[in-house]
Amino acid sequence: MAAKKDIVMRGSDLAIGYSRGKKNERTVLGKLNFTLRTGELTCLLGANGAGKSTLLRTLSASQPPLGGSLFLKDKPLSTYSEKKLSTLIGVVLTDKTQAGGLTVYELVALGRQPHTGFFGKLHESDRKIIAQAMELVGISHKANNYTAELSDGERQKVMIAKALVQESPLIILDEPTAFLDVASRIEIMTLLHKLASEDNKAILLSTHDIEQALVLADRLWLMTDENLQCGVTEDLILNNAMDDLFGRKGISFDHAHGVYYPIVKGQKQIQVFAGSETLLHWTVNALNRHGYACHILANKDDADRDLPIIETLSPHELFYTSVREERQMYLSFDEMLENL
Amino acid sequence: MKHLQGAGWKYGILLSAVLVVLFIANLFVGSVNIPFGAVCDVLTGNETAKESWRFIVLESRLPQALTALFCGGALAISGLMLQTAFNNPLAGPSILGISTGASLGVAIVMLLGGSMMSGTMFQLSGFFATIIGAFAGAMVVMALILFFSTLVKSNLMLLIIGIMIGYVASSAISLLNFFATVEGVHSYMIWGLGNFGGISMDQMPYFFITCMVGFLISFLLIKPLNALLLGPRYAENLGVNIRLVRNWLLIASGILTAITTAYCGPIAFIGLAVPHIARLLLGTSNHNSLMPVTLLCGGVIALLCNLICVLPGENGIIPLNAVTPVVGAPIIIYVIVNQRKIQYFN
Repeated sequence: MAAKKDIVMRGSDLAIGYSRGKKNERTVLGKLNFTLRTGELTCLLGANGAGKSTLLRTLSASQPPLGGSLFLKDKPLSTYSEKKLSTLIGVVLTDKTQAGGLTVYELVALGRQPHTGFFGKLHESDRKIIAQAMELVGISHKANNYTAELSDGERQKVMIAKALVQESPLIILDEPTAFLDVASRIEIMTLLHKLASEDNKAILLSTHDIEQALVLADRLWLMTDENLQCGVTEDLILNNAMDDLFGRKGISFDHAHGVYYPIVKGQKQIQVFAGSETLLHWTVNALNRHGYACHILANKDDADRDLPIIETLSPHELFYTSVREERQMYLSFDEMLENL
Repeated sequence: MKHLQGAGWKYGILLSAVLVVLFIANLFVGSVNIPFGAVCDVLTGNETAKESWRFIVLESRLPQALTALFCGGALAISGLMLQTAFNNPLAGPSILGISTGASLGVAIVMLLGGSMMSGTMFQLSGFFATIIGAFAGAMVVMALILFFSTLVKSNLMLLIIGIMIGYVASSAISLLNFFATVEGVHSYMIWGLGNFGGISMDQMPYFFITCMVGFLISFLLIKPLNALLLGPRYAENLGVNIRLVRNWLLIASGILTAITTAYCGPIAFIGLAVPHIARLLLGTSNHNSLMPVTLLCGGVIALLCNLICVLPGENGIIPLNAVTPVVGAPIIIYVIVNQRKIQYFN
């Protein structure tokens, strides 16, 4: 397990953006500093339009950097030939393909192209690697199906297998879990985490799925309009780095649960006491949605007589006590919210 | 995988057999009624009742069948490459403006030069001028597209540019027609109807070699073509030099379109329809088997069309371009209507 973590890619003062000749450059972000190591799953988070895709395109050599230095292993990225690069970086993109008429096996086999000869003939060793990759991502049973017949989640697995057979130390994925349902998202992310730790790959992916990223990423890259912050998930969260990720008012980060929520602008205030963490969470959730700012009571006796109180003892025992000390029992959240 | 490769061989052998049958049928059937035995005699080198029959079979039907064979293959391969390269099921040599460019070249030769050529296009000098015109026209359009491909990265945009070039060439042709002599317009119209009978046995080697060069380049592009099925960015990541491959693709399909259009006129639909027939037959878009099957299919369809052309027998020949759409259009409609069933473009 304790495989050596080599640095695969390092950027210092990297500037990314678009260039149409020297005089017409549009820098999206400058001064980026980061490293990618083998054995680590890195998640790139950021708002739409922050430049995540631009960064990924730059790192996968689809577009040149505008400044700074970018090293792949021990040489600048730009010094590698296309052929050599294809054995060092594998990508999974959001691009539309027209490969529906290829079988899963044929599509995964395309990933061997950097290693095969002029006519792309597969040798026994290639076939073995393809079979292993399909097994690893769990798509072997569909090897002879057309890719057009697959679900979005399965298609994503096939593309990951394609990247795997390239046998590159670095795999870059652009929003691999977009369009997937929760179960598939968790499955794909768990798979990627496994590939990083067990196959000692360096994996970088961009995602909007913050929940899964916080759970599984070894490192986070937080991209805002100003900069890129890199670090281990917990360091970043507990040093408040997540707070300004979206740089927008009205959104706040819940440090305890690792989720973003809208800030309640309610005029109404209420005190909440609940029988358990779960009940408290959902009671506050319901009240926030209805415009109440909640004061959470650790102890029922701490209650302030000037504010109404909600006590949730179980999902079927909700008590409302008004400022005039009238106590009312509700049997469900539905009933309670109806009468507030 | 095993199954599909098997399908490639199976259809390859089947199509080859059909090809041979159709090729022989093309030697036996023609607008002039020659007895079956007489054709056999000609082919085996025996004496025949009429010397003209020998001439018809060896100097007309044989080159015509060979021309149909190569033309069909060339247009089909060209269409297949353009469909894959431009990521578009409706791409083809005629859509990209290459064959319109060839037509413009011919129009210039026939309509502007018509007055100098005494109007009859089947004079030898006129014939060569036609071929040179078509070749030059196709190559100029191709050079333009190659030039634009250095400026435009998107394949769809490049396709649209190709269509626009085609429109400009068409309007130039209209203009030339408007100012041309009646004889010039007539001979241009005849050329525009398409004809596999334009190549004599003497010219056959040039035609053959040019086609072979085109086929060779095409077959060398099979590996990057497969990568291109995933789109240009994936292909790039698999080590394909996109710009280089795209240039070679355009050159190969340009050569194949130019040579066929030059000798046979602008032949509609084969380039567009045959790759779809091949995909439907094989059930794969893997070029390893798709490319050879498309080539064979192209030959089969062209020989079939040529056979249909001479069906009226003594009453004359149906123009080729009146036949190819009848064969091709239903296939295109089928492709569009059954898009959900046909999986190779999603």
